Amino acid sequence: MLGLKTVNYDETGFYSGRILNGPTQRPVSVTRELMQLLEHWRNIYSYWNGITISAACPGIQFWIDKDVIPHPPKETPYEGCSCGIYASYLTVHVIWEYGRDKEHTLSSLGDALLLVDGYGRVIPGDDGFRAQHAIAMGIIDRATVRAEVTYTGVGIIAYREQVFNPAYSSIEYEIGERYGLPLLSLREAVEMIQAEHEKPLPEIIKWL
Amino acid sequence: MNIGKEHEVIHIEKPEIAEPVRIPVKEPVREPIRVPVKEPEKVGA
Repeated sequence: MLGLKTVNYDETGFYSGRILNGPTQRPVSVTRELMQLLEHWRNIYSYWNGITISAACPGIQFWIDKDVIPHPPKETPYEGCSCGIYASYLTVHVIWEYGRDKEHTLSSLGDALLLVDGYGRVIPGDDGFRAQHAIAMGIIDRATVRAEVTYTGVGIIAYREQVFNPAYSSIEYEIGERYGLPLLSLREAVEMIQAEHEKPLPEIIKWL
Repeated sequence: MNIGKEHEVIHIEKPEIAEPVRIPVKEPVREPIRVPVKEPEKVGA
C-alpha cells in the first residue's frame, strides 16, 4: 500500500522520531530531546533498518499520552491506539509537514520525502494508512514539489504554492545513490498512489 | 498526521523487492594543500 512519508536523514542514514536512529542512539541536547520525547514519544518505537522502517508499540499507556491503548506489541498498529508507521495518500499532508519539519530538524543535511510501501499489519484510512512496516520505494525530488493543492474533504482548507529551496536537492541524489532508490517527481508518486485507489483521492492538485 | 476515517485491519505481504546493498557515500575529493617551498639562501659569493 503506497503512501508519502517525510523522513529525517543524516550521514548515518534515515532516522525518525529524532531520538533513535535505527539501531544506534543519537544522544543530543537533553532538554530539547525531552520535549521531543514527550511530543513524539511513540516514534521511539519505530526504527529504520536500511530502507525499511518498522514499528513495535509498547502498548503501555504513559501518564501523558491518552492516545495509547494497551495492547500486545505485535498488534501494531492497533485500533484505538495511535501507533504505527504513518504515511499519507495526500500531498497536502506531507507538504505541510515537510515545510514545518524543516524548521525543527536536527539534521544539518535536511529532510527528505519518500514514497513508501506499507506492509504487515495495516490500518487503511481515507487519507492515508498506518502500518507495521514500510519500505522506501523512491525519493521525491524536491525540485518537483511545486503545486497548488486544494483539499476537498471538508471544502477548501489548504492552498499553498510550495517551493522548496533547490539548494537542498543534493540530499536526494545522495540518498538515491546510497540506497539505490529511484528519484521520482512528486507527480509520478501521486499517480502511483492514485493507481491503487478506485475513487479519486480527496485533493485537487494543480501542478506548476 | 491524520489518516482520516480508519477502516478494518488488513494484512499485506512484504513486497518482493530486493533491498539494495547499502553503498557508502563518496567522500568529497580534497585537493592536496600545496606548501610553497622556500629556495635555500645562497651562501657566499
